[in-house]
Amino acid sequence: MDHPLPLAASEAAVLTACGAGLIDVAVAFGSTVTLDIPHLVAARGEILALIGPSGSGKTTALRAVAGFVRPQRGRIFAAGRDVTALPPRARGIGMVVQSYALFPHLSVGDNVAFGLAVRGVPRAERRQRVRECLDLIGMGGFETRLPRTLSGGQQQRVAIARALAIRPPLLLLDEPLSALDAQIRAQMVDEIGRLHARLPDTTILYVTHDQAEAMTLAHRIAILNRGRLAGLGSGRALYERPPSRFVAEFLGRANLLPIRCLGWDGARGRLAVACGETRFELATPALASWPARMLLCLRPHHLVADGGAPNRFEATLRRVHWLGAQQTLAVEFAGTLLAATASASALLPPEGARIALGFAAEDASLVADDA
Amino acid sequence: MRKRGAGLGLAGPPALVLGLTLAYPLALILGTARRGAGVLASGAFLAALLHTVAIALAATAGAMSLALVFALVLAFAPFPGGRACARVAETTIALPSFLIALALTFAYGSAGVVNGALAALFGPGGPRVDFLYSAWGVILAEITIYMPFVLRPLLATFDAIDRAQIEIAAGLGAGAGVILRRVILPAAVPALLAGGSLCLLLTLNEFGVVLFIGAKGVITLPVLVYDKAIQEFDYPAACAIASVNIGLALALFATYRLLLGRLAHDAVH
Ligand SMILES: Nc1ncnc2c1ncn2[C@@H]1O[C@H](COP(=O)(O)OP(=O)(O)O)[C@@H](O)[C@H]1O
Ligand SMILES: [Mg+2]
Repeated sequence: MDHPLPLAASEAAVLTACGAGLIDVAVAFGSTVTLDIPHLVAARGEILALIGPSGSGKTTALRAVAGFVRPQRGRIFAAGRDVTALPPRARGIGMVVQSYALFPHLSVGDNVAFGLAVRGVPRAERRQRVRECLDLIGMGGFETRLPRTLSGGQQQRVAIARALAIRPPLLLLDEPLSALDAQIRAQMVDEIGRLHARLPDTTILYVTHDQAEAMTLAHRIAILNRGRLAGLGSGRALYERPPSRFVAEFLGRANLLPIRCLGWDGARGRLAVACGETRFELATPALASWPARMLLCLRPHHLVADGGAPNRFEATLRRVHWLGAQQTLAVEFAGTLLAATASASALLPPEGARIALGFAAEDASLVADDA
Repeated sequence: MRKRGAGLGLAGPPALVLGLTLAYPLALILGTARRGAGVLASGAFLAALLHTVAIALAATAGAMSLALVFALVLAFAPFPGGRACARVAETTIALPSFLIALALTFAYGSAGVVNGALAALFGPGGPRVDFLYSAWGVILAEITIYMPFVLRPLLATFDAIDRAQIEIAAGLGAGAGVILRRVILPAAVPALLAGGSLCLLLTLNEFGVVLFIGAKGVITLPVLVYDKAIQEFDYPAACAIASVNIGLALALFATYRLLLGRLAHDAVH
């Protein structure tokens, strides 16, 4: 391993207060770099979600923090400590994986007590803490059951209780709910949220491929793409002002239109752009430089049929889906198929006819075409 | 009812074959055994019984320990070529057991490779390595032959352990010893017991190896049956001894099936 660079004093101070951190971390299996993260730090007590497509390095990032993957370079911090050189057993981190990985021959109680027994916690205290942890997760009274007699959701709760029993300052959850069906998953998301409210100092790194889970639970979301950090911020910021085309398309649906810049109107704070022959005005901040290819990013619910918005254009209506609360439209504009919305009561022209659409200057964002 | 009748009809021929080849001779043996029951009080029988059980237990214990170590290394600390080694070890299942005994004789026998090399190094003299013609030689041969019967189910069990269990245990603070004792070995118990009881069953019945090693004074039950029947023409005594051997083997086989059932049950859940 390379010698890590000395950290600046201010940086070191931040890290001793952090919940978890990957600083200049690179992981490679063979010759392919699987993870390359210059800086990713979760505050103490923060829920930081890691999302990204399958194979983007989410699990590898968690395993690096837990100590099961040795980075080629960089430093790993857990609960303010530099744990880079420590083996997993000395890191004191709680971990829950998709397969639950409960010890099948141990009872629920002994599963939860495992970390305490290893630490030599006396029997009476052990029993007390096992009961606390199981109560915390709604599994009181299940101590003597064997894991295989439990449902998936119950097994997941036991796995969480087992991780929490050692009172870890940092909890790593790797797709903990992906093996559960949708209804139980939604319930467990709430449950984990409540759990964190009762353990507000516990930092959670939460890996998921489910954006809704990430949006619901996490304070901030880190988006990984091919082992690199493609975006980091609150779910809302990433959704409304995506930093890249990848993030725009990965987080929710996005309409992306190639545009060229016409000019910046400083007095009104508007940027004029053109898509084909159609002119739009956007309330985006002035750009210091203009990347070679820019895209206009419009979320479907911002692109409204017959809206009174200033940016209006005509498109061809291709399809309509009525979803109760609203209607979703597929329209064709400048050779691109766009997703738009209309209120449930809006009267729409027949499919194949022209339709007027519009969006507010504030609702559009610009992303560089990095794909 | 018709279905059941058809089922019985289908079961007829195999039942007939089984009856002629297995049940009838067995019944004959058991019937004859009553007349030779006197041999069961003889010193020769008791010595053979003791030898048989002691050798079978020792060989089984040896095979189980060796297989456990081998399987642990292969599954959790794999080395290049390890799986190939296992494959080679497993092919001994396909070989006639006396061939292994013969191979050991070539290696460690009084005129074998090892003694030849020692004689070349230290001058002529009686065989320096002489364990082969004793119960130890039989035990060594049986360990070599039957170890794969334990190795195979153990490897299957270890390959099926979710590696996340081991990582979680390590994350909770467990060292290698605790992980071995509390995570890996409990999972191995059914395979170890099933493989071990099969091993015990086969070593109890082993005949060829004992005969081929030709160890002086190592007479086991099957060898005693052979001596009584073929050399002394004392069929009633041979049958009485064989009945004891059969009883032992069947009891063990029942245990083996029970454990195997448990193993399958655990695998399902
Ligand atoms: N132990 C390993 N050996 C080799 N390649 C690995 C290993 N673990 C992960 N990878 C590779 O690293 C990439 C990222 O994997 P992973 O972190 O599991 O992705 P994710 O959890 O985001 O789906 C994948 O291409 C995967 O094949
Ligand atoms: Mg993963």
